[in-house]
Amino acid sequence: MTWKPSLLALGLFVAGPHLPLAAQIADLEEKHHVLSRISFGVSPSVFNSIITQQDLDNHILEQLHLVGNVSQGAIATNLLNYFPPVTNCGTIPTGSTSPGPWTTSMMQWQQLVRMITSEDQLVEVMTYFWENHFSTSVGKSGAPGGNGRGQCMRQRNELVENEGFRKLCLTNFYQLARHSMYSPAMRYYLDLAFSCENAGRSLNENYFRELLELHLLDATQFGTGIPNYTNDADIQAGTRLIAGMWVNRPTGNDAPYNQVTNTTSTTCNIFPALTLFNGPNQTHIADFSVPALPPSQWTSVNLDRRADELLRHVIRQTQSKVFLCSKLLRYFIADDAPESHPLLVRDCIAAWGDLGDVRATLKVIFFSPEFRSAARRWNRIKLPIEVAVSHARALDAQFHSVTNFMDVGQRLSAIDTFLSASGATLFTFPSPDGFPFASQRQIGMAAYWQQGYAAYRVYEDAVPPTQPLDNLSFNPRPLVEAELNRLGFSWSTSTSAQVALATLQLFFRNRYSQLDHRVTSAFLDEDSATGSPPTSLWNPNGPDADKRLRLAVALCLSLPQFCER
Amino acid sequence: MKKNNSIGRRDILKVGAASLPLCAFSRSLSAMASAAAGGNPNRRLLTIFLRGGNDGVNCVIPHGDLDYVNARQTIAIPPGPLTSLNGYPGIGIHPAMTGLRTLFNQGKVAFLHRVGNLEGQRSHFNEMHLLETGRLDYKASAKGWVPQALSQVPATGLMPAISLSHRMQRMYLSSAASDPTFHLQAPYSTSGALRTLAIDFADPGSPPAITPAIRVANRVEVTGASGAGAYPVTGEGPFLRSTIQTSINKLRQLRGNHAAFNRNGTAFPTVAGDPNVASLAATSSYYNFFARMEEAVYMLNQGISNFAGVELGGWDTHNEQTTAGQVGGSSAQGIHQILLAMLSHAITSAKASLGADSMILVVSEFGRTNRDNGSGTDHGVGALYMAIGDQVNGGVYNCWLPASPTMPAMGQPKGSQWRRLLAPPTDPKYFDAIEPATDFRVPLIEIATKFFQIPSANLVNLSEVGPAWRDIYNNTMMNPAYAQLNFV
Repeated sequence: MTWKPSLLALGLFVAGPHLPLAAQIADLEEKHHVLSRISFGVSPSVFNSIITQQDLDNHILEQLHLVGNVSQGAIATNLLNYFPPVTNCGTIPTGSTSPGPWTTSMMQWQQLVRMITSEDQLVEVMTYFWENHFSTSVGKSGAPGGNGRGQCMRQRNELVENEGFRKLCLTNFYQLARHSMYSPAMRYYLDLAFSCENAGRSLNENYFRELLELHLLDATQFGTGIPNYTNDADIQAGTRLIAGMWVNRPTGNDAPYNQVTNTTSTTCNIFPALTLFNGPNQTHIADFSVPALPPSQWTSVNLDRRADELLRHVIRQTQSKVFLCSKLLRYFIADDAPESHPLLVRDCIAAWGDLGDVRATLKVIFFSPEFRSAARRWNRIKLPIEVAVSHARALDAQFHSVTNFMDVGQRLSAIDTFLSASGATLFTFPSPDGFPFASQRQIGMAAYWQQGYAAYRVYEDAVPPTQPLDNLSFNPRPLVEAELNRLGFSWSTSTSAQVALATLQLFFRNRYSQLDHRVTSAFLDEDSATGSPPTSLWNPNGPDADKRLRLAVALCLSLPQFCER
Repeated sequence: MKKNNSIGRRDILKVGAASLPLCAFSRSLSAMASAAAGGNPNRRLLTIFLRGGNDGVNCVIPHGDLDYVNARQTIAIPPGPLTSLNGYPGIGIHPAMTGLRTLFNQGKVAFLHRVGNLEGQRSHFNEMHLLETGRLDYKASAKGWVPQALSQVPATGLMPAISLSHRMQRMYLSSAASDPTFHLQAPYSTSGALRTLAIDFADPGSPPAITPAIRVANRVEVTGASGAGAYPVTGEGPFLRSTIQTSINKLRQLRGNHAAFNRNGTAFPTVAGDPNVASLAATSSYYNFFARMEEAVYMLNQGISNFAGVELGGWDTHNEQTTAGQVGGSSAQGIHQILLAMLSHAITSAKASLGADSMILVVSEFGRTNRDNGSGTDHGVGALYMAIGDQVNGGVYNCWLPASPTMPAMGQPKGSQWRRLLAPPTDPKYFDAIEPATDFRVPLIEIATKFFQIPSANLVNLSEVGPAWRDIYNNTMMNPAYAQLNFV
């Protein structure tokens, strides 16, 4: 079995009046491919819009926020309005176990709503990309302990950090790294909040080491070619430089976000670490000269400035540029992208510039022939979150009968179950993707089976409606009918082979086999109402046509290629 | 009326409830172990990987070293009635490890201090990768050392090497063509509702029929629903279908013939007399560790596997190492104490079940800094490995203490280098860390040659680690870090 265009499709396909047949097919495939990469999955409504109302290039520019005024859209806005604002946790009395306005599940639902429904899809993709890159967990994004205010603060820190990534996701890498460095969620997660020079103790290296290994440079290259920032003297000197960048603990006054204090902590009364840089042996970190700063200038502004200078200095290193550009290329093109496309790497690094222009780099990638190459299609395995969300987007899923955030959560319970089973729930101890030991879990093909099984159960008429998978409202008939029309057929006179063709084209364009087509047709031809032998062939006007179609769609969504993009 | 020659939906469902999700892989599994020769097929090894970097200094503690308390002002573990080790007056064990202490005093435990990468790197990612592949050079597609060693043992079990984890362990990553290993990977639940068998192959380019998706994933998985007998799968070509069918049969055999395999771990945390039992009740998030340990022991005892691997995370104790932790959400103990109690419990239970031909090897990617950081420790270099079993030459290795007013100098120590554990390093790159005395590959080689009795000449046949392991084994340069510890 090989993946190649179905002869049936080649013979019947009539995508438009202007291009030769092969070119029409290639054009639709390219659009499908691009949409699958710059969004959380191809939505038929967006796809139709690209075909009928605007060209692909313009859509990309819109998604990059270079033209137009794209926003998350009315559907997402309405759903998100059911969630409470990020509030002041200080209203929870000290010692109280009363919960805050959020739960971790609500945070996950809100994120899923954005991923599924937002029209600003690239922003959601990149928000998740950076959230994963600067990975933190709601279980440790604030001071430990406490079910009341402490938990509220941890959730708030995580939400605020996530919203920051959303606002900055297309700007520049320096701002993103700085946002992460100053985020209380990160400071607690990697223990920077507990690091201050205190009589020679209490320096906690965790954050600075991971800042270099995970955030700014490539851990897998450590010790194998990166000349600077790899020895432990540098790690310790860097740790000292940023030590004491404190966040207010969740006291009764609920400190404002991002506030950095340098005098109020009981354990870090001031920054004695700075005195270390006045000695002859502590004036540099690798090749970064630590600017002199006399005690009279030890203000939080000046201290932040020193940390910022170090951050910018590392980001300007070629190794950092190669690391980040390669990661973007792998995500959007293919695992072997950096090695296979040295010229594209060069162009990306040029676009990345001094401090990491994300938007310019993505533009280079999205308009490169390598990105749109037919050879690069369907060669990325979706992460579990991408499988789950693209499942819903492929069917233009609707959140029906929603009146509050609990309704939203109930509609998402099937996806929740899938993500939980995949070990990929949002905001809870995520493994950053792209590293050898972590990525193996992320791309594990257990997801294939699970999503297939889930898809089947969504549509299996034997599953009672109380099963958790039957929540989001899907109506595949209009989508398939529109595809039938595009192919030159009519629903009322359609055969099972034609409907199968339209269904497979809807989800996979030509990425299906003859066997897939035969099986899909068979699903349409059989009576699924009873366990008795099937008795009737496909009848588009029959009473069970919709049910048969749902089963055929379920089959398509369980095919292994749905786990690819 | 059903059409002739059509594929019925129910026909498909007979094969798999989800119809066609899964795919391909490489050559026949019948080739597995066929090339094996020389090793002892009756030996069993259980590996436990402590992810995050275990603080070995607070596990097997140099109480007699004055530097210990000085270096660890906030996290030092004081000596007490539960810490003493027979024959080692200046060295104690963490009091949470009561079961392991008993085993040690019976001569069944070797604590191998100061084992590590001589390069002194302190990256989780690098050090895990090197330890799991047995190599000193980073190679993204490198195989694990377990299947390479397995290739020299004429194993006949259903799944000669198996990793039980929520993800694949690289230590068990193999080329399915010659020495396959298996990964049981599932969201574990008390009902054991779902389980996936994964087979990995290291070379993404072979065979050519593999789909791009599989090529990226480097693996094939076959999944079975509990009791349903449903194994959805598809392959490309008769060869691959045959291979997958073999995998299905293995999973079916495991689930069918070994109904007792599905464990929930309840048998393990019930060792009488352990004062930490109560604390373990608060660690539900780590409860699966016991289930996996129990399953691993079952597979080894049943002769299903020669190698079985589990892992336990949470050892990256930068903070709250000995104070109130977040493990389980409500414990008042430090993270490290809870983890050590769990580890000791699981090992004690496993040892009680395993036969005399079995060994448990505990490793971690690095140790931690000598000096605490206020409430925890940062990344170090030299680690503590542990070997448990009847074939072990028990004792504390690579740790020596000088005489003090209250303690005579330790007699002839075990290990390759006699130095204080917390002695200042001879090389700045080991600053504030345990300087490794033994290369991390030495214990692996000793297990291969002495425990599994693989002829040393066969080491050079190991496809990837062979040349380097040969150099270490022969040690023609007389490098003390390559000297055998003789703990087996």
